[in-house]
Amino acid sequence: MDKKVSDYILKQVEKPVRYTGGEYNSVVKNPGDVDIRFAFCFPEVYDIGMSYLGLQILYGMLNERSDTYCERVFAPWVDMETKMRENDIKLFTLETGDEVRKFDFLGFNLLYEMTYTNVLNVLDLSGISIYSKDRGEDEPIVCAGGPCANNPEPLADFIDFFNIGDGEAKLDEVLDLYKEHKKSGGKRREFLEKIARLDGIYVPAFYDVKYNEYGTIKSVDVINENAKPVVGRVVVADLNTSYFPDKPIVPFLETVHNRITLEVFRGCIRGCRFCNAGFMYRPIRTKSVDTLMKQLDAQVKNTGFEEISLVSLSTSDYSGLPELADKIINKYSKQHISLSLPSLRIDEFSLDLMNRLQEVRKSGLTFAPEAGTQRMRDMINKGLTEEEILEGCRLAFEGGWNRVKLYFMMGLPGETDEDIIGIADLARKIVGEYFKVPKEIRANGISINISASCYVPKHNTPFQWESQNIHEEFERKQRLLRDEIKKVKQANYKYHDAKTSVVEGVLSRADRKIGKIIYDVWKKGARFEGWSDHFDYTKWQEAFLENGMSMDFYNTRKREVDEILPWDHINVGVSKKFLVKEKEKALRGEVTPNCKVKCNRCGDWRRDVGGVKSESICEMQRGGGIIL
Amino acid sequence: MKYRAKFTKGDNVKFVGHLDLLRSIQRTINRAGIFIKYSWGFNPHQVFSIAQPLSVGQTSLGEYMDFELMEDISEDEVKQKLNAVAPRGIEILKVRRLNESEKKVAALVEYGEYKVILDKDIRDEQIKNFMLQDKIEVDKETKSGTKRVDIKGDIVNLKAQGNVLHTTISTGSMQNLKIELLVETLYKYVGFEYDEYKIDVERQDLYYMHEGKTLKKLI
Repeated sequence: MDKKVSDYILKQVEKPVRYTGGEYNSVVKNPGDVDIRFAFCFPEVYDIGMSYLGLQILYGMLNERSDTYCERVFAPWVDMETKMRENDIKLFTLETGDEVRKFDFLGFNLLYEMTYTNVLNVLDLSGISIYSKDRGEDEPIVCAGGPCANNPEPLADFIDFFNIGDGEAKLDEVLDLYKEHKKSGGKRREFLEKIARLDGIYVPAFYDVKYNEYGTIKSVDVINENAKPVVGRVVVADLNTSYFPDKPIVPFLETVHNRITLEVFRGCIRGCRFCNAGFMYRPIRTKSVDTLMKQLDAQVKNTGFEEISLVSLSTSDYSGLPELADKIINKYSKQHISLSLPSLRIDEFSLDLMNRLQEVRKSGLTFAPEAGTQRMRDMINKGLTEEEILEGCRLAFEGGWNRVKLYFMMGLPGETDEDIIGIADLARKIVGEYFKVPKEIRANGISINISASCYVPKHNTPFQWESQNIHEEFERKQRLLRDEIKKVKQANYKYHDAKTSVVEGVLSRADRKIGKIIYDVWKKGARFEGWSDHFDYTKWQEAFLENGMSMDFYNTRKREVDEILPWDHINVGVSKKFLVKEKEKALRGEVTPNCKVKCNRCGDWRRDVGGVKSESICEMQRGGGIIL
Repeated sequence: MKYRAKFTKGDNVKFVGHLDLLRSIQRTINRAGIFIKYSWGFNPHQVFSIAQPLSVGQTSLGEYMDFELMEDISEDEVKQKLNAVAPRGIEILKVRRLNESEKKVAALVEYGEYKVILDKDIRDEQIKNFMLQDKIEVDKETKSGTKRVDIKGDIVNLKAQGNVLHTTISTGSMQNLKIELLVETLYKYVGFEYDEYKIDVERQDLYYMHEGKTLKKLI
């Protein structure tokens, strides 16, 4: 790029290549040739942000437009921020090095609540007004999307509009309208009014929220005639025909996931009741094996990556997997390109597949029972029984694996100490399975690594009304589990910081009032709060105290099902009625079969096409598709 | 079939660290569709070696790497195929086939020629006096602590024109003088304040000593 930051500064910071761009497949255009300049920001450090598939998709898609130049910007790491502030350097994009504040749009991708303070910091470093209401005509339109946008309220004061749903679905239309609007010299408010009429576009300033005495929501009123009372999430109907990049950027820097990421399908059939993504990405939309191979061939040729990773919420549910894996292995193993398959269900098929993938070394196996007892697993609708786990382990031990990773959560609704102790019991039973396998067959020595994260009740799940544990309770459970696991000498236990989960819990289900807290915490210097060495709980405590607000209101308070929730005027597609039913079934310990077994009517996935309801875009609801 | 390529590390990639550069070259080779030989073992990897890494932030007009291909392709074709898919800033300047018996670049390289843009002007006479010293002693960090060493023998030539320094110094696995250390030492001698971030280094080429008297380029 045309460096606007001097080498003198770049030489003094860690990994300067985070700020210099110019990677293979990064897009070069002449800014003078386009009508729209779009700065796409992943509010984390480059190494994290560049690993995100959504960025590659939208970057490629927007740059397909000849009238638009989409450039990237990330949160500068703290050393760079210091240098920028010392030298009064405004935040710039990687492609041209131009200042973000000169752009038409600044779009944030919201993947994780703990990046919210980074969002504010990016605005500030760019020299853009933090609050939406203060932004002048010469400032960029600030928008946001991504999974966290499904409860947009915490950032409502800072973002001009949210894109609710798949970015591929509506952005083109928004940009078409903007181009027209810019030519006619319209005001930013007029533009926001125009796009507020589109599905999936939420302009928070057009809604007024009134509160009851105790802080719950009394009403959410539309105060601009262009806005809709409820904003529906937009989705791509067919992933076989929607945009997928054939030339993703190849970073110079070794990023977190530096490889080809091939999305196999969107949505999930499982319906685990704690899982935000499992509900928010519905309905199920798959790609055919042919589409996947075509996309893969292009990416392999254009990137030179030596690893392919298949991603989805549950790749084992893809019935085309055996065929796809065969094709990939046959075609690419000769070229020394390896295949990695995260989060497979452990059974004969997957073990056989893994055997073929790694001819010599056996990596560890991962199970995600999520809860320690069958009672709890039924409550959360994790369709995995103890027998299945033990059978999977036995098969694995017979196949020569001897390292097992187990993922759990603590603090789930209705959890008792027995459920925590159950985690250690399960580990003990797995060790027992190992010793049942004859010495001549099993590999020497077994190790079990247990990770138990602190449960965060999320919006748009059946547990959205539930209470979250306070951090003292999480920490007590962590000590209990640690003591129990000490009794199983082959097992290790890894903790997570409970306080980070508490703040994540607050933000996930917060309303607009929290905006002031986020602002104050950022003012106190909070940055990169997803990094444990940067997270500072006391800043949040102070901000709540200073504003006369309570964290308990957001995290430990149990909501009634008839309470107006901050995200009720956003419709992700899964109906509230379905979520209530799921919550009630959870309390009774009843499981809900996955969508493959039975359609549970979670929502109406038909679309309005010219006033007529289309066929459902959910493959399961239609009774077709590849997951059968 | 063994090959040696000479390439640039331009402004666009000057902050790319050595390991990241290796990975970028590996991916460039993959994209080029030329089949490089892989090592044996648990973790097969492409076999190629690079002569004397540059420090992060420095550019070069003459970097070298050796690699072995599974097929016999013309030197020109290798060059063209790599250039078609190389990241901006990396340009293959020359490719030559190697004989089986030729030394690898990493073992062959002995000298490097550099152009350094300084933040201050240096006079001819200051350079002359610097070079007229009997010994040019510096503290060098070694595994067993700091050692006082004479670097005079490592400097083949040293010239200055205003704020531009031209020099050829030992750059190799046997004998090596870091260009930054030379500039720092010179600054100290002249009485300038040295700020490593204000110095721009561009490597011009790499050489070996041919029959003990002339410097020859690696290709």
